[in-house]
Amino acid sequence: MPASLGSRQSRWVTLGVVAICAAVSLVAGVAWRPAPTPLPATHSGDAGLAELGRRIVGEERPALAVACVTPTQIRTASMGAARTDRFEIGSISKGLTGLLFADMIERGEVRADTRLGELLPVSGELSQVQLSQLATHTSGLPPQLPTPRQYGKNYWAALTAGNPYDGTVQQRLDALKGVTSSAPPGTYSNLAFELLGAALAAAADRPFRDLLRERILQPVGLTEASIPYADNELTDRDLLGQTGGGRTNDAWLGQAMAPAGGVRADIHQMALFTQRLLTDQAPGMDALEPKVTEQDESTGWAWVTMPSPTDQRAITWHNGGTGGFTAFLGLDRERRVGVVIMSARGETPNHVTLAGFQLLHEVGSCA
Amino acid sequence: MIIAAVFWLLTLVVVALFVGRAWSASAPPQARSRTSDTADARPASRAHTQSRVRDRVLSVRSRDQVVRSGVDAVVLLALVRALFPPPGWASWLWVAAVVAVGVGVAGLVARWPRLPASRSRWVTVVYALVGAGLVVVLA
Repeated sequence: MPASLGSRQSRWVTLGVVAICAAVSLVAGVAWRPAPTPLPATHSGDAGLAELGRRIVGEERPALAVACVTPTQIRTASMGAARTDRFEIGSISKGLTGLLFADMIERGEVRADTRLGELLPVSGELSQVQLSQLATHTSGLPPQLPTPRQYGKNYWAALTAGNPYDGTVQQRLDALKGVTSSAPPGTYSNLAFELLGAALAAAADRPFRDLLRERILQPVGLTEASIPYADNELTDRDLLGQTGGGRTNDAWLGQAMAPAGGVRADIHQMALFTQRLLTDQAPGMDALEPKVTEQDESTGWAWVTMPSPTDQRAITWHNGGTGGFTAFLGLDRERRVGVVIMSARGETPNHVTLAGFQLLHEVGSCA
Repeated sequence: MIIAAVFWLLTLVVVALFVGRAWSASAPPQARSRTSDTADARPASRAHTQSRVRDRVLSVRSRDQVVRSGVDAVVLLALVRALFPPPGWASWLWVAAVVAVGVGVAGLVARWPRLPASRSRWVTVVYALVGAGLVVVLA
């Protein structure tokens, strides 16, 4: 065979290999592009609110649900999820635990200054921490267990899109040895709310989720909300969210973390809950009242009240963030309007919080 | 953000290295004796220096070297996707980097018969398996 012919054939073979490899890698690259699945074009519920939610929160998430609430009206819109699909509400669960705390104070079952050591088998400085300090992030407890095991779980969860907060209450209590309350006041602490929930459950002598369901979830309209402890408790209604890189994240669940971030709920029932808060019909409404104030930010039992970064109106709110979800519930109590955003995308920083303030500003009177 | 930017940059460099090595036709740089270096002590031109650096970085000693370079690129891309996903439109740059790795693999396939084999084949196999395991974990 002439050398030039062989060389030409070889060039074509090389070009063919390049074309095949480039095509395969292009397909793989697009399939695994590090971005969440975008919202579908369709929606259910209120068209205007859906449009507003898309614009303010953004399209890059597999599912989004928004609600706008007044004492007499509820508008909801859902994209990429059915109206009854449950999202993780993350740390908005702390707001529910705060309501439970206030309700139990009103019932006389605990006091704001009840010491942790009176209810749980903890020793040292931890036993002297007051429940009110746990509920206002002023206990000095760190954000989570400061143990090598917990740090390892965090890294592993980040690598595998997993759940770093699994574990039972007993396991949390066992791991408390050596934990001090020396973090600066105002340190946002998931551990504090895990212990608060465990303490309230001990005071009522009932499992936390039964207590929360009976005292708070049922009365505020969250009858279908769930507090799963394990994957096998999830149903078809429970969404799995995605990370910012488009990976499906494991559900964040567990017995210990339930009071701090383990509740799941759908948009309609979150709207009902918001309406109960707006009309002062929820149990434990004192939880929303400021207890600790620093500069222009006040903290109740979990609930924060501060000027909106959008329009400086006083907003009472809590947000939530898990590996696959972000959420916001905000109330303009003076204007008597509330909004809820639930997004099936984990984000750091939590973009949905700012979007919540913006939505609250733009919905006006929610008419 | 700074850590993310460092990872993005590192990934681009490693991907570029893999593609460059996979398609590089340069031979490994010849070892020079101290005497000849001393004798040839004239200041090297900038182009000459660049050429030497390129030869040193892109020269391929064996198949294993290119394969390991490819494993590095794929694992770093998976790590970026998992921990530091580029925001918005920049995610398409990640796709472009994956296509570049594909082009690198094509170079490796096309040049495979001409690349020298090495004695550390099993080390490379283990390296590739560990890389594949990491990619599965990060997916």
